Amino acid sequence: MIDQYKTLLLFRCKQVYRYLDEIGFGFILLALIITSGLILNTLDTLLQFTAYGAIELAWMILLMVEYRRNDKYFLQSIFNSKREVINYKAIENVFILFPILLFQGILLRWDIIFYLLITCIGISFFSAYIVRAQPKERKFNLQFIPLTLFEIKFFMEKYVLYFIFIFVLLALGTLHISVWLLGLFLLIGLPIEIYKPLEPREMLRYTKDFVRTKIIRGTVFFLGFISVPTLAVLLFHPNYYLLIIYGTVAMVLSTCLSISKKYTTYYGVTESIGSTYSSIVLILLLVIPGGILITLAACIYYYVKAENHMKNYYAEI
Amino acid sequence: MLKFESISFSFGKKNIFEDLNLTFDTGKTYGIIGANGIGKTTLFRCMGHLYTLNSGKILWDSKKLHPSQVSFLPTSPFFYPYMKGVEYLNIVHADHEKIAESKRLAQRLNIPLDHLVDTYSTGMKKKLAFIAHYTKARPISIFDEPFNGVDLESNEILLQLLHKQKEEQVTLVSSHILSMLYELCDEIIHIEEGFRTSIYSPQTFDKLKQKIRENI
Repeated sequence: MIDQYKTLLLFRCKQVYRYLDEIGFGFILLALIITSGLILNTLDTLLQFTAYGAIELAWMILLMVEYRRNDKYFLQSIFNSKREVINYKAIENVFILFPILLFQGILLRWDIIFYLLITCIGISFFSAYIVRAQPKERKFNLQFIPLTLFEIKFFMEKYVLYFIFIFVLLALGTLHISVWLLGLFLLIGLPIEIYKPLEPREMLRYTKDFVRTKIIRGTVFFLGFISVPTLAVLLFHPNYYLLIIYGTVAMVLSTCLSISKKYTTYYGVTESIGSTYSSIVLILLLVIPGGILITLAACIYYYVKAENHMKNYYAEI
Repeated sequence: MLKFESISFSFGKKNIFEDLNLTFDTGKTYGIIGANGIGKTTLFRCMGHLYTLNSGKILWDSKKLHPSQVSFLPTSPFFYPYMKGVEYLNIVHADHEKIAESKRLAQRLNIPLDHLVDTYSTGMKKKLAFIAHYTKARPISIFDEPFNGVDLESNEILLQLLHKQKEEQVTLVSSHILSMLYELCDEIIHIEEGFRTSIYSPQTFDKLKQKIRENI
């Protein structure tokens, strides 16, 4: 059993390495440099955490991991008992929280480390007894979103709670501008995911200026989504108007970039995963001063490329 | 002997099976057939302790069945992303002998163990998972549609391997390919609407075919 734990944990480490390797260590380094301010700020917050704060964060992280993991049945099938699965998951949870544990260890906060370890064991124990609900027979349908916006429609129907959460954050921006910024930051990252899947060729109805039409539709939708809370925020915090305009422009750029990149290499057969990572970096560039110019230039470049590619693909004369 | 004693299972209000009683003799191979969505996989998952029964008991030699006594090959086996074939075998087995045996079989079935499983074809993935579960040699082996997507030659090898299952084991094989089951099974259990079961022996396999044709 110990050997099996070791093999599985070693594999999980290799898995992370292979994943990062596929993204490209250059990209990761660039992303780290761009977001270094944000990372250092987060680390600073982590170091100042009280025991309760650290436990809350640990619960949030581990529950999220638990919800996302799809190897539950596999683990049950390879280990001989529920107890072995619980033990393994507890060890894995410790690995996941290792950076937090290490920081608290450096500061000699043994009480927090103790509570975090209890959290790791607690979550692994509960997860063994939680059976995930079966998929519903009928899909949740948002009829007010037309099928022309099928990417947004399908994504929203799947993650409706996430959109509600973002909308609430945007609206709560009336209390403090940083909450609006957080909501917008979460929303800006979404178009990359929304426009990642490639529709089959049978679904695509090519018309003149296909990419432009698509960009206009997508942009109008997202602007509509943020309009009411953003106007309210502008009313409550008029002195932040430049920041609000900048955020809105960033939202538009993110949508344009995601749609353009999708159709630069569209064949409707293979998925171009690599383009997602470069899109993330281009969107992260919006955070640094002057970065918007690089993203804007990339947007224009990819838009022209996408429009030309689609023209050639559908042999428009 | 494997025994279901009045077992019931439901998803919410939807009953999958209720008060089901069945007995499986040790050393025999059983085919399980039934329409799509009738609940075959759900039954297997209950046996593998992946789902909890609403009521009833599953007994192995008159004692409650333990998860460690069951090996279950699902229709779509799970693989971690970025995993090599050899890593999969090492993770599934704690025992070095079983790992060596699995590797020998993988070689026989032309599975490139040093490649990432993500690059395997459907059939290769199926064969890899089959090997891992087969070599576990637990008292109860369940194979849910093991022949799907597997090439003809490999199918023959899988059949040979299943024939060799040990005498102290109960093997359950679900498949929609009747000819395979005819060749392999000692008995075939046909599950119909409402989880009504009919059992056929090799002497009555023809009746099964006739019944299926009549039901169309």
